[in-house]
Amino acid sequence: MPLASDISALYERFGSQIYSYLRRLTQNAELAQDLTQETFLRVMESFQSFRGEGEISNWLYRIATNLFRDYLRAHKGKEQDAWDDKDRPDMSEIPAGDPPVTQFLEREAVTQCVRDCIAALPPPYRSALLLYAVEGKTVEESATILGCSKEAVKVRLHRGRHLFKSLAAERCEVSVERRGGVTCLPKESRKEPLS
Amino acid sequence: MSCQEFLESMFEFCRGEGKPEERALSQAHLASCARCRQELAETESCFAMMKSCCGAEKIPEDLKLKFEQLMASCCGSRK
Repeated sequence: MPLASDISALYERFGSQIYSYLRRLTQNAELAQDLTQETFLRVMESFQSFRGEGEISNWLYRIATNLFRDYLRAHKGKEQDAWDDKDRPDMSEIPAGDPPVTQFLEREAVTQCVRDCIAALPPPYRSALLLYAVEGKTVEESATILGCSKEAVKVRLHRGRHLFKSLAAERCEVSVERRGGVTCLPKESRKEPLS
Repeated sequence: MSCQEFLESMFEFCRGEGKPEERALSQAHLASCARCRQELAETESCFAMMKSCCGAEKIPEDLKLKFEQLMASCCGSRK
């Protein structure tokens, strides 16, 4: 068993990172807290099995992701079905030409909108996007953490991004300006025109 | 390189992964394909937006405290 000081040092260095990831992944602060604690307890139990291959943070992300997957399995919700969905490495269905969402008004509302859209994604897409886009992991690192192939990660990223965009389009008013810039105004914040 | 092949390697391309020769092929494809340039720009824009909206959350202080107590009770004698 490692020294308590070793685990505490890991917790100090990576605790917030893992908690933030789990917070976005689970969409539940209490569950994220429990799984964060459990992640580091698992680290303590299996510290000797870490073979030093790759970054230790990737190992922590993998434990955290597996704990969330186990949680979904135990609760047998609809989200668990999505984990079991087989990813086919086919990207030919990607639609072309949908407008980019590059500029936003009403920052706070948009931040919440983006978080809500990420929360609405099926867990495999959500986890891949969080690891790659938010945590800055490479495709290879994401595959290691998620325990799947690189091809599966790429399919999840492609599909997740396009699904995210569809969800955002339902919530936001997207308009393309003459010079090609795009403005996104959350629908909730639109003011009714004066009669 | 076809559009399909570019899309399959786009995420590695964005992160600077892959062999130099593969990256050169991707760059050459991008130079001649407006549709893939647009797909790349939209993807990078979308991911940048996600990152900016999902900043790090500070771990709750009481959670840290609980963990330290747990550590002390589990293996305090080895400290």
